[in-house]
Amino acid sequence: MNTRSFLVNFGAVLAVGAVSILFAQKLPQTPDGHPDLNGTWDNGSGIDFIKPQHLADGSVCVSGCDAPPVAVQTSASAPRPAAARPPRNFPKYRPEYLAKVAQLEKNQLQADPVLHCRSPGLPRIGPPDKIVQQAKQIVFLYDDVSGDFFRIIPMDGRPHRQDVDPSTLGDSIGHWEGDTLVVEANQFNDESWLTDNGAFHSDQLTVTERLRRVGDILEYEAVATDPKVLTEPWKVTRKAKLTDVDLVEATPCIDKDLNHVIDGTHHDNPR
Amino acid sequence: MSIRFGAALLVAVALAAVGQRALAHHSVAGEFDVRKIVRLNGVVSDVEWANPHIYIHLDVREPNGAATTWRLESVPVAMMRKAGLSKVLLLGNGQTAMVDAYLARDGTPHLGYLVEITYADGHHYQFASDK
Repeated sequence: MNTRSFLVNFGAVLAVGAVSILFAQKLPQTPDGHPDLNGTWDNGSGIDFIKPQHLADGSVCVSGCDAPPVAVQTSASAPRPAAARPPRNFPKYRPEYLAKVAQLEKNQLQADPVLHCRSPGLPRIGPPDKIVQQAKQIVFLYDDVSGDFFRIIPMDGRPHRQDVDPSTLGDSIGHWEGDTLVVEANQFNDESWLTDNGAFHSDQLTVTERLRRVGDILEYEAVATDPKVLTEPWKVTRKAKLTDVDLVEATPCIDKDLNHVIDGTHHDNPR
Repeated sequence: MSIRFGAALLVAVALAAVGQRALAHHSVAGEFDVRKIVRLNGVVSDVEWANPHIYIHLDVREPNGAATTWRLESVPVAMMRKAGLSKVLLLGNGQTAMVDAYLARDGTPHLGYLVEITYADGHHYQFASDK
């Protein structure tokens, strides 16, 4: 290596190192040296397409406006036929359960737990809306249509509890893998769905979530494993953005209108 | 949860397109006739601030003089919050309001879906297509 190439390479190494250090310094950390995930995280709640229009007199158009957002205009002329939908990320079921999924999807107005204000369960509930992070435990808070939910995730290395009843959110324990928070949950009941359209699961479900902060973005991944009914693990990914808009107290969920739905019309309702 | 021949279908189609977590929990068109809009005049007497749908109560004076309370379904709480609207704002300080609403398809009397509400001072909130 001649002097010039050495200097070029050395300079490149310095530059990469400087960028790495700069990036590392930008990522907030807790006193115990882990990424700071504390805060309220906005995942869009499925209403990113809503672009309220505000007028000077206090008027607001929430939806159906004369100049709707582009995303709305693209579908303005006619309902999108089912065949034109993008491939949905749907769990792959064992053949013997396909009929059950189809039946649940057909009857989802009656069968879908979240349409009746029940817990969406994991991983349907999605990434946490707020994280309270301590050294020995992390608390996930959720502001969901079905109500407010929480999960307490021990970080001290203890095993799963054996004295809890199965539930829709299961029993969780967490650990760090580098800068990634890994949460493993088991002890589920079979009362929630993985996603919409009849995606039931069994009580053999386990879920592994990975959360990684990149700047003010929270990258979220959940893998649902249920060998009793699924042919392979099912993965969902989401992103959430740090926000200074905090959660508010619980809003009650009280269904009052399903009895008035006369033709079973529904739409995708994933969390 | 969006289109031009009805906010309900707008909503349903857009949701299918984006494939994200949804807050509306059924198609509005499954419950309300987006081609039948009724115009009501009254006072917002209550707001049921709840999920999966907010309802406003509109006290209407019928032509025969009788008072009737309409229940008008609206959007989920998160959507209302995103628009900066609140229960207090919907109540409108008790001033009279003109409301356009889709009628319930099952014929339930005095049940509708809130399309647009215009208060006596002129400001209005729109939640669905009025075309």
